[in-house]
Amino acid sequence: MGTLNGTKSERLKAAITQMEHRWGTGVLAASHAPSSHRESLSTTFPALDHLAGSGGIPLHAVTVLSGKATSGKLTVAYKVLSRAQQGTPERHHSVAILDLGASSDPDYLTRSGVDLNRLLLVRPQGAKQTLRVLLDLVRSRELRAILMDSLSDFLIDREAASAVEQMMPQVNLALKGADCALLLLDESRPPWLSPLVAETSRAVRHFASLHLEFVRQEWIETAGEFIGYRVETRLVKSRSHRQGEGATIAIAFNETVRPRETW
Amino acid sequence: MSIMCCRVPNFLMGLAERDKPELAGRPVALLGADELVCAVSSEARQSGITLQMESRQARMRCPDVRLYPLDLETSQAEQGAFVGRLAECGLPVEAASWGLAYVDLHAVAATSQTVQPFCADLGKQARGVLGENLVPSIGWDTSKFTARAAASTATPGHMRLVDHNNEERFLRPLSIGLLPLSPLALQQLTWLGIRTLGQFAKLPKTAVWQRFGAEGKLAQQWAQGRDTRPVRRTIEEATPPLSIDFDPPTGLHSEVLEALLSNLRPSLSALARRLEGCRRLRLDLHFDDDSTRHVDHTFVEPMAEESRLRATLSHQLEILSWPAELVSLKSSLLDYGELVPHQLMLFDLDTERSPLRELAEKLSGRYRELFFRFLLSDEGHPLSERRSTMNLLLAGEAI
Repeated sequence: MGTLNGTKSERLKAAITQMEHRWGTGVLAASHAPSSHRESLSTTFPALDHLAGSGGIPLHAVTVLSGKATSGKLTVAYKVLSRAQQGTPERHHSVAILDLGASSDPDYLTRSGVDLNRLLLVRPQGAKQTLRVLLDLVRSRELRAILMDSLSDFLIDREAASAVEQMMPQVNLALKGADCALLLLDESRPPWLSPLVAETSRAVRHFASLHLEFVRQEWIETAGEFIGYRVETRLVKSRSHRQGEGATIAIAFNETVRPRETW
Repeated sequence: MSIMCCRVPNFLMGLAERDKPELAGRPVALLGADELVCAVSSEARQSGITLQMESRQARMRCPDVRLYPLDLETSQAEQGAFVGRLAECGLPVEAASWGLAYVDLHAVAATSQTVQPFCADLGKQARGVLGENLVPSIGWDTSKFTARAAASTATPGHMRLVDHNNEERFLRPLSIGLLPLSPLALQQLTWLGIRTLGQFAKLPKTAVWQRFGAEGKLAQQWAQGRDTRPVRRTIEEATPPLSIDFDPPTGLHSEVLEALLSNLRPSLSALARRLEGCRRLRLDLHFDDDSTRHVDHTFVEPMAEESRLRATLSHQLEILSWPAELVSLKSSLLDYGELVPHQLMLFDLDTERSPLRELAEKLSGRYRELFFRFLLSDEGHPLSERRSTMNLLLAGEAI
């Protein structure tokens, strides 16, 4: 209003008074300029954080990580969970995994830095129950991050797709008010399965504000021993409008649990 | 010092299941002479049956529970064989409780590298004498308490060697339930938010002394890794026999009971201050007609509580036939040992309230059996799938 000259300001005031008189005092509210800073959780890979924009996986939003098996998406997701658990000394954050494929590995979670004492493992059955539990978990506002592992175990029929269309807007809305990031893992199906299973991931991807695709490039080898692999990450969808950009990250096998003396 | 602790978890129940294989996989509890539960199977424990519970309470918790009297003679013979096999190495051995013994390795090995083959050998021998069902776990450290804690946290068939430099780091996250403190003291500590040995070790010494007395001070020293108790060979007599003369002679049980308790109380208190208890009690009664009677009672676990002693003595005096009035009485506390931390399952670390647990409890009401948690049961196990377990969370169940 400070940029308006005197006449315009007076006309605006008159218009506001007239509208409030007609529709009530609460009808108009001052708008705020959208903040360029978005809260996020680091993936612990600087190149990936830079690619995702705003420093990593955004809070209050849906993120899809897709790729084939052993492409590194699960490792990145676990790293995000471990980062999400890091709170202040007064308050530690908790995270949850919707383990749809019953495939969560506590050993790998621990090695990725996830504190199992602050991890809730949920194994729902059916699409509707999965989405209901997800909605309740988001609404509880007790969780800093929720990982759904994975969409390929969930979106297997038309019924699931319609459930997603019904429930995802509510989940998205609940996320806006919760200090939580929702990560969805999506695994590409083999080509021979395509005629049998409908492509239903698109419904979920529609609600995602960030979509990263992972492709394993090569194995990293030292002295004849595989020590990790290199992954090419591509930005498929983002609020920062830089679709198509990519980054390369290296995932190393380390911190192997040392076996104890056995007799 | 260089102390190895050899521990067979749930020794008494393991013996019962070994001798009666049909008991395996069923809720079973063994009852001591005082009709209290002295050993429970894991299935019975899951139903809520705990040690020192009355048989009636146990049946209320789990109607399907099978209650059997403890075969004390067989158990003692097996315990003797277990300790005897460890003693064959020629080193001092102390039988602390059922299926638990300390071996002083000071004379032969003092570092984790040199101790390892000895521990492995003794473990094999213990396993050989008890059979495949009763697999011991082994802990080693420079003090008895830490060695015992190490054995308690090791998987059966494995050993955990705690380096002296890592003692504090090892003890810090462990539950205070490992300390043989009284249930009341543990309850107070839980209310104060003290749940780990590390938290307890950091408390001001004077505050611990003021609130929990000498036993609390001693327990704090153990929690700090400062346990100077040597390994003692089995001690037969805890205190010199105490004589009580009744003049005039009496036939009243209550009078005899009160006199006995007032005489034994100082000895019991002295044992409790050292976190020890009496394992065996002997009474020699001399009657007016010159006849004598002897009572020899063995407690399943060492005890230092006056209420338990009162109940035991009252029961023994009731069942004894009195030919005449009592003239004199001689009592002896025999064979004392370290108190057993029965409270482990009551005050576990997992009972800590957390927003996550509250959330799971809230949602469990609507979704039932959907919520789980991973528990790191054996972080160092060579097989990754054995390093942790997954527990189901139900409404109202602690996670």
